[in-house]
Amino acid sequence: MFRKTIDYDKVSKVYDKVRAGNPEMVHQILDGVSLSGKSLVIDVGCGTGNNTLLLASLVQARVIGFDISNGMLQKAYEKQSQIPFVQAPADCIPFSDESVDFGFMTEVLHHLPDIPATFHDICRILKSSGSLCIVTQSHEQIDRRMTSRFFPASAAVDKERYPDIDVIEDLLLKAGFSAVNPKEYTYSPVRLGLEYLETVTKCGFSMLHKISKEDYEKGFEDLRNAFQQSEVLLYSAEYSFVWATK
Amino acid sequence: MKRWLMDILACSASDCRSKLDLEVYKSHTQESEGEEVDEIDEALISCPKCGRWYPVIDGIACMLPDDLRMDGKQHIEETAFLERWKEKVPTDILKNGLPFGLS
Repeated sequence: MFRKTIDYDKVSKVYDKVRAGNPEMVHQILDGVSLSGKSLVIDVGCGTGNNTLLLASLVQARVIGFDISNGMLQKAYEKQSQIPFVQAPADCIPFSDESVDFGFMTEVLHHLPDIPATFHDICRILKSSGSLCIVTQSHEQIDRRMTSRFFPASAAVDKERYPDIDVIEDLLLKAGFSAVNPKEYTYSPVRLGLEYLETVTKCGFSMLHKISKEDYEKGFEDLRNAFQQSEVLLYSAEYSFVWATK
Repeated sequence: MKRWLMDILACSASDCRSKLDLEVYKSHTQESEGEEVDEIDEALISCPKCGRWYPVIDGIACMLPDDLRMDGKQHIEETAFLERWKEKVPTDILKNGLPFGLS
């Protein structure tokens, strides 16, 4: 999505088939913010727009999705043209200062090439009463992922990509935000079925593009065996919601 | 792209951030909550202050900073946009556009 080490235009061709919007995540975001019909909301790094469209369907506010990948945005636009989608990097948003009420980023931070510049630019465009919600995972939450069980190399890769929560807090404060409040959230357990296997098969998780072929094949074999032996794979996804107030 | 987006968009250049002008080349109407609204498919967005131009391609405003427009697929797409609309794009953009033209 952002200045690229992974070809996100290429990823967009499979990503949208295997990654749906997350209603529970969107509800968590909306629980933490007060929006009116006049509010301007931006989804920074919106990808194929699944969470953008979900959130927009639940509020009266004007919502705009941003992404650097034109391939991702074309997929978003095909679904619904009521929401404007704009191609721009997260660290150079084409808005004037103090124009936005609320920004959110769902599972985007680890894709960014320059997180301090991104926080600085989002702080610039937020109104004085504005806020930002970053949905990400702490290093402990990464270790507890189901993919970390089958693909341990992916946990190491992602702990390099994901800044831990204390680092995010520090960077937000340095970028000009006045207060930061991280909250952890655990989803209800779900039984992972064939759709999980399909996502892994299509490399729908971006970190699977970053591990070696051997590590991928070993993990895939272990996962397939677990399914063949009818092991119940129960998983409670965990996320951190880092709230920042300008 | 919705026309109201122009009320919010500003030039991507960090030393400019001016309000922008819009010239629509192709649009269609669609129904939204019982009303007919204009949906912009292709348009030229230009900055009256610094002279930069940005394309709207297939309904998406492409507002990248200069360094992300100068090569690769993006450059090809944006050059194709200029070719497609060269009868309508102002001559100074075609010849000396910022960050590039057709020459």
